Amino acid sequence: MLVLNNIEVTYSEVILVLKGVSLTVPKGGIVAIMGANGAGKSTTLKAISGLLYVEQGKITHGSIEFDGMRIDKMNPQDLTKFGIVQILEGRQVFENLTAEENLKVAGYNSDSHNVKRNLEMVYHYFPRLREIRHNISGYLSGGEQQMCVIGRALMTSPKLMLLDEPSLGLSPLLTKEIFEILGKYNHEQHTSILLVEQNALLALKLAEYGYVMENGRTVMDGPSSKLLDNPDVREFYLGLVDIGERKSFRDVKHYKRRKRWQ
Amino acid sequence: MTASIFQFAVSGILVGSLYSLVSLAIVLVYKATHVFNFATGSMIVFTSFLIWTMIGLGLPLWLAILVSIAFSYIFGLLLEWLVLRPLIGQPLIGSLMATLALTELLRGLIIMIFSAHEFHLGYHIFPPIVKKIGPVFISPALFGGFVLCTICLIALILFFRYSPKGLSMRATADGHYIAQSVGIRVSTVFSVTWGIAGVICAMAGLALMDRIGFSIVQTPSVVIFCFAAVLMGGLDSVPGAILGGIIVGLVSDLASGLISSQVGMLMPYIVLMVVILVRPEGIWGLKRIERI
Repeated sequence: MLVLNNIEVTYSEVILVLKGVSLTVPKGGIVAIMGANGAGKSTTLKAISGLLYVEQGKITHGSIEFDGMRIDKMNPQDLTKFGIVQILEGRQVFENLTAEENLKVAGYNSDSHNVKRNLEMVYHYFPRLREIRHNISGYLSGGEQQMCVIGRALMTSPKLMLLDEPSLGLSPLLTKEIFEILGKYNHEQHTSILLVEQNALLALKLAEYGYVMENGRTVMDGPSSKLLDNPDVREFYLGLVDIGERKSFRDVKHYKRRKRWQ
Repeated sequence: MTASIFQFAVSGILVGSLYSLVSLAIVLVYKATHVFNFATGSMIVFTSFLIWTMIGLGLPLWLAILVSIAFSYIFGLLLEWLVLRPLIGQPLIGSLMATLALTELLRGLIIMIFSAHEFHLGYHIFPPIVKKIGPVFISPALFGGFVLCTICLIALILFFRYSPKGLSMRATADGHYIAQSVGIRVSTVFSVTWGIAGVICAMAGLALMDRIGFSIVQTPSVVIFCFAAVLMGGLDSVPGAILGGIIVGLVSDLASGLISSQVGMLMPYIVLMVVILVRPEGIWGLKRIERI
């Protein structure tokens, strides 16, 4: 179980990006974080995975615990061995390596000693990867690269996966396919998933619980079904007014209607 | 005439393998850390002196070489740890200037600890197995150096293709940030790269020592040719470095044999300029196409 306790993050010792974020990811659960650009979603993930330090960021306040252990001072390499892996935004494959080499390199650098078995497991979830395993990953299509990147994370036998916008730049159909695979993997392997996603509807369908972030704070949280019913979430993230009805631009009256969660 | 062309071509390729190996050391460091290692020449001289010292201690040759390989690896690690590690995260020009400074520092150290004189082994390490192929005469030193360099090149290529460490190093060359996200310890990759560069320098030193001896004045001038080879092949390309080295060896030997040795010194640079004019990224270099 992952617990973020009121963390504050500063970049370059001056820019305060997270101003007290608390959230919990239960063991084997899927939790979604939603929010506008610049709300601090990616920073939250980087704070957990330890990649923050690479970007001159620092957790200045609060604590992060995973399975009862403080992890906010650990580096990304130890965290990977510990079972926490982040899937970076934007399909970042090792361009000059083949798809299979991309997978293998993650296996070699994690604690999982059975690279071969993990490889089979990844190919089981992403059959497409087996077909293209000898292709140079820089030349793969966007969807194949995203599968490769997710598969690469699975190679580390994670206990917690941090997913940053897996749908970015992919077709709705492909996104749906990848989300289905993620759901299946979570169901079968009991890996916890913390998901940052702009596509709120998709995210809340996959996740059991969601958080809404704004300006470096979590402003709202609740079970997905509740969030889906919340009028603010419906309007600002799903673009709906009443059940099933699409919002017309004629009804947009932002001066009248304010977000009420602050 | 044809016979002499043949003669120079063969010796050019044999010499070229040495340039290839040294170029590879430069390319490896560049790929992993994006630093152009100007200190390669001084590193070769330093590791040559290591081998010299080991032989002087009375160790059998094979043991002397093995010990020197180990020391050269540690020497590479030390250079990375002392000089380049503190500069990680700083502007790249700093690291570049650091390797230039390192060149001078090593030169001074070598003169201080060892000597500025030229050293010759006085005997040949490589046995004269092949003396003549058809009409072409081959010096045992040249051929031995070629065999040594080729073995090193093949070993390195196999290492990068099949070993987990080599794979991690190639992955790191593709992106430091992504590498960290999958648990690769990038700083370890940096030091291993420098360690390998150190070992390559020792092997190049060994090949050179047998043929022309070594000194702090003469040996770095050989490495100048490798800079040309690296740029010709493409700064970030392993096959490019190997090809570049062979081309440089071939061109300079043919020119110095058939025209004059002055032209031979110049010829690699003329070829380099032509290559750079036609393909700025080098023969096999990566052309980055940025999507905006």
